[in-house]
Amino acid sequence: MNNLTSERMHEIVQQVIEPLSFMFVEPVEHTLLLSPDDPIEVRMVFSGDFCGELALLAPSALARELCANMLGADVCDIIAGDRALDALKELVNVLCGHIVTEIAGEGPAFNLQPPDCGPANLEQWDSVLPCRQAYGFTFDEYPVLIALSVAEPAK
Amino acid sequence: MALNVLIVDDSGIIRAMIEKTLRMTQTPLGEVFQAANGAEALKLLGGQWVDLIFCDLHMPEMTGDELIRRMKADPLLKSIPVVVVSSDGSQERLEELKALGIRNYLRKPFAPEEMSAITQEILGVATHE
Repeated sequence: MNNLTSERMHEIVQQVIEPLSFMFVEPVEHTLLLSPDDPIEVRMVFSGDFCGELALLAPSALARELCANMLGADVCDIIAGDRALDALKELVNVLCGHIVTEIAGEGPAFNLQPPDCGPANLEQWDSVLPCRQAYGFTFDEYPVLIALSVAEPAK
Repeated sequence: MALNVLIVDDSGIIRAMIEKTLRMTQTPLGEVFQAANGAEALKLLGGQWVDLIFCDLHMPEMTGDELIRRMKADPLLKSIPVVVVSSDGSQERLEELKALGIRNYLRKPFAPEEMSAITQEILGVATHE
């Protein structure tokens, strides 16, 4: 069902994230990424012909820098808070839309739930590492873990 | 002619990005209004004249689809061009939106040139290099 290769996933993340975040996106072997001190996690559930979840874990500082880049503001002017998390959630929202379309094709419509964001811990970060569908990146210098799970919808 | 534009999205970041991108296209702008969902947009449209609307689909309280449906049922609002801005790439969804009467669709992420082309096509606005 999920025919997404690692190479194609890397391409999608680069094509979606770079123009939105104005950050340089580089694929990295995910097991080699060092866990940050203050990770945050964004999760987004989708359903349709198939269902699943996209999760992104990153240092909280990424959210602030992302927010500044998206607004064309100085990162010093961005306080950590709702607006910074809003930027990260929107990034995952757009990414999820593209990934679902890539897997399902441009035909069917999917229901994308609003992203959920909150602080993560190192155990959560480490728990993603063994996942078969985990992908590692750096967004500028920030380590980013992306995990995708896809399943048949409940009958 | 300066255009009044309404940007409807539950993300404040995206509303700010759309406004920033719109200003980069050098489209002559009058007022730029913002609303966080369809209900807020309808309330605003009750008191302000708007020439063009950029609208997200997935929003709390009232979705973009519902906003467009209600606008098309209102004689005063039905002729305002609506451009949907979404990450949704579904052809099925796009056909539904076309049937509802949207004027165009911008898929996130988009370049300023795409937005500029759409504003020119819809409104015949001359932009400067």
